[in-house]
Amino acid sequence: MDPFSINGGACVAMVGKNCVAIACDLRLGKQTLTISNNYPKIFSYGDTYLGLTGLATDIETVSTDLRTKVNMYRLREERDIEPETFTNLVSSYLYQRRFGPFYVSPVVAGINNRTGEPFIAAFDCLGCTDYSKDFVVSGTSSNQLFGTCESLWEPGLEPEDLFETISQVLLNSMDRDALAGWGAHVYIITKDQVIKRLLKTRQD
Amino acid sequence: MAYLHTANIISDFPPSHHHHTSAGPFVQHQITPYTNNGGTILGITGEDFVVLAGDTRHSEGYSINSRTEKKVHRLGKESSLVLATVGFGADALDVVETMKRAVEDYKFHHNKEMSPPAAAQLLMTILYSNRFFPKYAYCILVGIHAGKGVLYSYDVVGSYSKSGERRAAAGAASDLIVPFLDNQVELKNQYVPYAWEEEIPVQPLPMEKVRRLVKDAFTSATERHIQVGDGLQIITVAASGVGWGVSEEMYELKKD
Amino acid sequence: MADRYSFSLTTFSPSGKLVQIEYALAAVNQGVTSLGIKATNGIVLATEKKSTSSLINPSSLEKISLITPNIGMVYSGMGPDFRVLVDRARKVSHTNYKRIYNEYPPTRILVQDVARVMQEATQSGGVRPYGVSLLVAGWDEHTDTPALYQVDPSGSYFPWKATAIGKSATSAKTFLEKRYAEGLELEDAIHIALLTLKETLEGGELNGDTVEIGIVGTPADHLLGYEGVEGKKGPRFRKLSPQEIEDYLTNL
Repeated sequence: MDPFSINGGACVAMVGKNCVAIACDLRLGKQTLTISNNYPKIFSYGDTYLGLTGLATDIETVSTDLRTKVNMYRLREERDIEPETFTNLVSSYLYQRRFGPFYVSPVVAGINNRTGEPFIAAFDCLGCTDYSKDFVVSGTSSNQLFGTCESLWEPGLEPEDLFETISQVLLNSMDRDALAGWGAHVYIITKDQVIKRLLKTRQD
Repeated sequence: MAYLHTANIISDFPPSHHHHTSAGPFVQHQITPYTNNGGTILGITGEDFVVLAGDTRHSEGYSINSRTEKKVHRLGKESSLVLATVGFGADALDVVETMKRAVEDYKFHHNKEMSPPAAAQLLMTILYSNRFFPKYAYCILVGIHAGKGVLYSYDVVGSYSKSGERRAAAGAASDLIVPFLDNQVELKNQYVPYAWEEEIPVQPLPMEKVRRLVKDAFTSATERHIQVGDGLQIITVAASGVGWGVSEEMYELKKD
Repeated sequence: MADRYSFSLTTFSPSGKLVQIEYALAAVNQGVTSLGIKATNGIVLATEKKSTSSLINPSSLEKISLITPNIGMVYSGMGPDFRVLVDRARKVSHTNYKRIYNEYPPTRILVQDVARVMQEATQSGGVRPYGVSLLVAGWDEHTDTPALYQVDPSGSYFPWKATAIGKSATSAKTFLEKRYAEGLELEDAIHIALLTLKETLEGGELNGDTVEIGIVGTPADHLLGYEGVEGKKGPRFRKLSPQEIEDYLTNL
């Protein structure tokens, strides 16, 4: 069985005008059997957000390992980690496990605290970074997410429009994936606020 | 072609034990009866018309065999029936040819055009007759029936819905296109603003909107799927009075 | 053994002192004076280059070293110990930072790493403390500000606006206290650095071969080796050439 699709899950991040959004589904499954409908896949590290899909046990390990690393960084540097730096940290951390990888597909979203620039990136499980100016996707619904993102996303979306776009993208994609769905979390991140919304979705 | 190679068992008989550790003197070669030739097809119905489209790339692995191979076929000069097939190119074309002959035969025998529901049932019979060595062809069949656009889609062994469908996509990039269609044709997950959980009612789309959706779906699929691209063939069948009109539009897609 | 506490291992004396560290500090205080001055838009590091013989090629002597593109370092004390520390500093800036974050460490982080190396030499068996004090100057990209630190053989470190180490540190610092002003610019700082060296001159005359200057300033794009790559910035730390130093000296 492919470790990336045992537990199922979907995650997507998008860039808007002076804002970014990141969203995930809430399902945790064991193959076709749903175990939980409250399993969020987005983690915050200061103002930088990380989405993790893949093998649930590795999601736990990776998110807590990175929590340790970011807390140490904060104490050492006396400041929050920037999204770009965090991306490099995730990349080097994953590559350390080159020959025994964590089965996760991470997604990063945030706004650079110094420049105010929106930032998103995605990785493969070895830490190869995919920088993107529009959107990144991960999880068992990645094909569906690519299709909907490519057709619904447009440049320069305002925060509320970005919320609508990322929500429609995630909802319609995970409705076509039996391994993802059962609720969703959406974060809309601007320079001075973060709005988290819980989406009501189909429960099948 | 790989599957035409046969084992030269003469030269290997009696077996040379210097080179073989296997027990028998015979080398068994396997043939591959199917090839995936990529491509995607998509159909959407309106009130009194139906649009059926397919890209024109024909590929094998990472190679492109043709950038201009059409996948959408009219089943007769006087017929409103249009069939699009995708999967293994040879099987797909064979299904089309079989259908064309059957539609022509039907006209000779009954002196009238085959109706879309009849053609739909026939296509199922043809596909199911190959149940134990299936034609590797995903089909979408459309036509005008009683002044309305109708659409049927099939799996490789002939499963289909008798009542037809509003829209369908098949082939390489169907994963990418289907959720987009759910959202834009069936208006899935769309609610009336500020009205508590009131879904936006689904209405038949105007022709220009449908053509726009088809082009958007394919440009998006072309962007993210390597087997989709080059050109887009869009056939529109529209009811007019007691008859129908068929038009074809070719639309450029990226060639990378 | 004349002194009960002259082991190579650093050990507390009954009075609570680590005399090995004090000896190391004594070695620093015999060393040639070095100084650093922080300006609003940069930092200057300066030292005297004293050669024991006129037969030595002065350009082969280097007392100010680049650690990362934005950080440079000078010392007072034992030259060989400094070279070891430069090597270690360059190495840890990669292993502890660049290979993890794909960017160079901020000045304070590098200073802490080097200070740890020096501290470990006071607590490990079979080694002696490093016989140098360091001045570390760097530019921090995340705050867009310069930073100047002193690191001692004990592993303690201090941030400074301006300071001096070595033989004439005390008189140099007195001089700097008089000349330093808030809101100083780099050009003024270089001027003051040379004046301070002149004031505390230990031998010979000041010229391009006897003075070494390193500056942290605006990105030196001409040192990049290429141009036209968008977003690429040259190193902020660079050494002044003997000619540049001569020019400053003539305007003194």
